[in-house]
Amino acid sequence: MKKHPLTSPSVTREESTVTPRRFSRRDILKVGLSGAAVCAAGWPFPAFAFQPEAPDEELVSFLDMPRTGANRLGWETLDAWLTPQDQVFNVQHYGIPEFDAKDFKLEITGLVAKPMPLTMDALKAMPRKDQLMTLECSGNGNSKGFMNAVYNSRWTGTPLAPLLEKCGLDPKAKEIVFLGMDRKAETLRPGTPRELTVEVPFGRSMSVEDAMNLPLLLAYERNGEPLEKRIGAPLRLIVPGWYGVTNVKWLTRIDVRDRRYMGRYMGRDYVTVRGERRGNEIVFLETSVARMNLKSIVARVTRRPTRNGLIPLKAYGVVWSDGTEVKKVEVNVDGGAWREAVLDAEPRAKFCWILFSIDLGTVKPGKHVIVSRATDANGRVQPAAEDDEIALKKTYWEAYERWPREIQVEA
Amino acid sequence: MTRRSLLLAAWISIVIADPAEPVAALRRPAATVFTNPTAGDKAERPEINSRRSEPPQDRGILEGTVRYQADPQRPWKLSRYYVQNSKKGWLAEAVVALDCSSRAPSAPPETPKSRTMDQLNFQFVPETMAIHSGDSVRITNSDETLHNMMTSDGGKPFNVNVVKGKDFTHTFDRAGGLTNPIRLGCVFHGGMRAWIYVFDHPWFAVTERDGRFRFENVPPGAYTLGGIHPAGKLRWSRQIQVKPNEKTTVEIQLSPDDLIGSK
Repeated sequence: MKKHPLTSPSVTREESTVTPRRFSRRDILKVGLSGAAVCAAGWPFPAFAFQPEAPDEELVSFLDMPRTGANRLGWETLDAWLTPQDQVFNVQHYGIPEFDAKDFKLEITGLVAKPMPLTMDALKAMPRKDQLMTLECSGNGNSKGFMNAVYNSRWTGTPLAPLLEKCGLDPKAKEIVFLGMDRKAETLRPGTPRELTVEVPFGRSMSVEDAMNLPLLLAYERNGEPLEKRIGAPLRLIVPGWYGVTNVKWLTRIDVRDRRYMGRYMGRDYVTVRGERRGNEIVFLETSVARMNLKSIVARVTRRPTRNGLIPLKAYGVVWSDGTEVKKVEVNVDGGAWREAVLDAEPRAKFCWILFSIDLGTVKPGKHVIVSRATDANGRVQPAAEDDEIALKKTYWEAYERWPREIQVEA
Repeated sequence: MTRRSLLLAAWISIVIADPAEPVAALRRPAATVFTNPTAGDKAERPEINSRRSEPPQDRGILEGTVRYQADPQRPWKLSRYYVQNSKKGWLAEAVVALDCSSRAPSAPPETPKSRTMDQLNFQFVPETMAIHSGDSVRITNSDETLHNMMTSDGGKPFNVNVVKGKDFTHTFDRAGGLTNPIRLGCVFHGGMRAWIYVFDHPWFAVTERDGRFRFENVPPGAYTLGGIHPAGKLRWSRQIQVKPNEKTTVEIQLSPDDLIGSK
């Protein structure tokens, strides 16, 4: 059997590794409480994220925002670069599947020379790697009721690409399909003579090229702990830089195919419908949700005691992307001039969020609106809600517009 | 209702999974046991049938304050929502109730009450409620977006979508006490949660902003006073004694040790 061209040694893969260039071991030691060290020691997670607040800084709550409950990121109290487990969201469309973990296995089937059934023991005996990654639900930010579905992690598992090479990809292979244990009866063309109901597993797919070039991981640990079932135990696909839905939980089958997979969550749901200007015409195009977009958010605002009738404010926030380098984050108050925030020099990793902070000067007592916008190394600027990119988007996934935050401060 | 809301409702069904997590804790039987120093002596046993129109002369009043003492070494991040004054530590929105589980339930209220729980700014308001069995709750939606209200608790599950301005009323007949509340959620917004505690006696309360609660017409005797903060995941109990014709005051001081799962 001929080898698939993407499995040849000439293909350059991104490093799917533990230690990103700007988050070196030395940095870890310098910080003293890195995720790795913490996990190894079994300590609680560190509070080494945002720059320390001054003793007289006080949190200013955002107006009319819902409280943050369990299993949601607490933006206003965010203090850890690696998100603690109790702030990790989970979304599933076919429920959390019931199965006996001891019977679990991963099967690699389809257009491969050597189909493989793999037990968890076999997977854990394979080369072990870590992948640092911020994972965001593609619906995150579509309303103020759903804006905490993002978290940062160190995932541990075995890399997928060498495993696919070992299976021997057929040259005809074009698509890799990832299927979970979660299943549900889906009905196509309901209410028509051609109605069809069939039980299907939850699935997502990507091209062979993406699967071989991205540092995909078959993960069984998060932040040094075994995965919780609600986030995919015993095995979850990790796709750095892609939205949460692509990171298939309870992964049990990888099927290699020569044509596009069009399961519900590739072809019908998680499809962004957006109008794009082509000359004088607006053309509506439907695309499957995949890569994350450049996004920043003001996580919290603090104040200090009133001076001469004015209140000093400071903002803290987070920015992330699909791995594209972030160039800057700017913040403005009440539509004033954009001012550049300070991006934390560490910790950083290619696919992870970066924390930022900015001194906003002083404001008068009353209501104020604070908003951030990010710019990446390619010059892409995070759009406002009224920009075409967002205004002509008719579906709520990929909600990466700027998020104005309202506060009220008293003298 | 916006077009996006409709798309949200039609295209995605987010299963609320995480309510199960605190709920599992809530479902654990309370570790407290009703104690009566004169067990077996019917003359001393508290009389529970409280809904008589004229309470007996010997009944007492129980009032108290629940406070939370913060520990910087073990921060409870949710305190910003429920402890308005960190120096005084007043804990709001906690459910406090006498444990009357070993007694016959009191008669349902002659006139059942109706309470309202709104969905506002993607939050149930109030988030925690306590009612007598037979009372009803009218759930409304004040947001522009479509909300849902659903529960599988209480023996009569419901799952209803409600647009702005509409409402849904449900009567809760089954008393679950402090251990088996009605857990409400919105399937469209997984972060929205609420708890309704249903009692078969009248000695329950949800603490005010100043942490206070008050029970009247309490039959004298020894009780376990239980408490839970479902949103904040705190739980505690205290042994108390209610004396006849007197006001008994209790001060309940909580700490991170009372966080569910902290021990």
